[in-house]
Amino acid sequence: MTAAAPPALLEGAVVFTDIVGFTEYTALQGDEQALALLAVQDGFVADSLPADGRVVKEIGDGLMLWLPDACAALLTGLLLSQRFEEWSDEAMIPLGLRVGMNYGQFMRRGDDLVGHCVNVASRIVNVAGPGEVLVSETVVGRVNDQLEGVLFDELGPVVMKGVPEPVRLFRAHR
Amino acid sequence: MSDQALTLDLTGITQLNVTTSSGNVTVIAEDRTDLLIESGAPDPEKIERYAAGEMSGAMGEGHASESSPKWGWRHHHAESHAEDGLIHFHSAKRGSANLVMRCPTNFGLIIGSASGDVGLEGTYGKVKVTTASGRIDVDAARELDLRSVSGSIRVGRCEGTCRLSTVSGKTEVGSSEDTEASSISGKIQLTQIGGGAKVRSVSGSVEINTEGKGKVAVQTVSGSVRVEVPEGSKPDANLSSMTSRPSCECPKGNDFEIKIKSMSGKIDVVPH
Repeated sequence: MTAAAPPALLEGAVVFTDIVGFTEYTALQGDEQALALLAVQDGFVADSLPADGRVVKEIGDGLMLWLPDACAALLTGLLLSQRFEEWSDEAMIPLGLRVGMNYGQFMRRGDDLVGHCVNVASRIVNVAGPGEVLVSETVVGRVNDQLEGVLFDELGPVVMKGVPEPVRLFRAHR
Repeated sequence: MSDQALTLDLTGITQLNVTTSSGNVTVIAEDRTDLLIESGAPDPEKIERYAAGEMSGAMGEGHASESSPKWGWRHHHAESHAEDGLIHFHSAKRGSANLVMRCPTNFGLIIGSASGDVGLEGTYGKVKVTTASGRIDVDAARELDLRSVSGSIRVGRCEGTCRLSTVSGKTEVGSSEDTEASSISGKIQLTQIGGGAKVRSVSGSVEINTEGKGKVAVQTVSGSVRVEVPEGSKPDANLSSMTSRPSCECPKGNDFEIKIKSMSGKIDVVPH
């Protein structure tokens, strides 16, 4: 057995998405419609994700994305949310996309990403309501007013399961 | 932690931050100018040390390196936004501890809690509460953002924007203006809406009583929706359900807009 290569340290934004109501939608509409819905989401991601970002993995109806730049990550999250809202409205399908993101360092394990920053990002999306984009304080700090027209409303320090210290969260919107 | 009540000067402070991993938080807003911590008060000596900058940890940045429970108290000017007067309460390592305090009426609050209930008696300014499993109960506030994963949310009155989110808990609002509420499986009940309402539910039922002064938009996957409108009003109702026939007992008009979309839930629009 050869020694494994040392894990690569990465930095960037980790974005989690979740389609609120997907399980109920699948139960009512069937598996084919559920697959069609995921294909719609895939299309939005293909259109929105910059060339240097990537889909790390799919988690059921959710996605984990990685982007090296916080501004690009935030714009991607907002665009995904907006596209999904527009589609939901037009298709008269009562589903909503929620997005959570964090910025920091983490390790690469194969195609996956592992680390505290990733875990926090996965918790952040659980705090978001449908149609919302929530970001950590570190994302806000990295964006640092570089995005004109993007506003942040602070939710305050949020205590999350397994995260020792409260994390200041912000609702990003245009 | 001290068992003695503690009074703190609030000069220049308009907002308090409280975080707790466990234990209930009860705040009473009343006619006073200081902050009285009746129960769960920190050791006064630690507060003085922190105020003098001697305690390690940067509370204003959301971090603290003291062993739990941690308390900090720092005076800032009102314009320093969310870091105005900060209380950091972290009791996870020593089990639950309840915090009871009294503050001035119309004060701003930001509260983060993991499992404790949050009860706010009296009238507040801007209030933001996030809890994982605790119940949130607010008598009255100017503006609200309340989030609970499994706990229920109750609001008596909100004069401005009211944003509420829960996964499985019930949401009840007495009276509010512009209101956004979302839930996965919990029931949402908005008793008196004086502005617009935007409500999303997956399987929880939705009941809204609107004064007809703003757009009512509801979307749900399988929850039932009932919207009551003022007697004699003629809403522009756009109701859509994939599996059931929506019912509107009001004449169609342009008084205000109602848009409801559901996949399988029952939809009823009725006069008060």
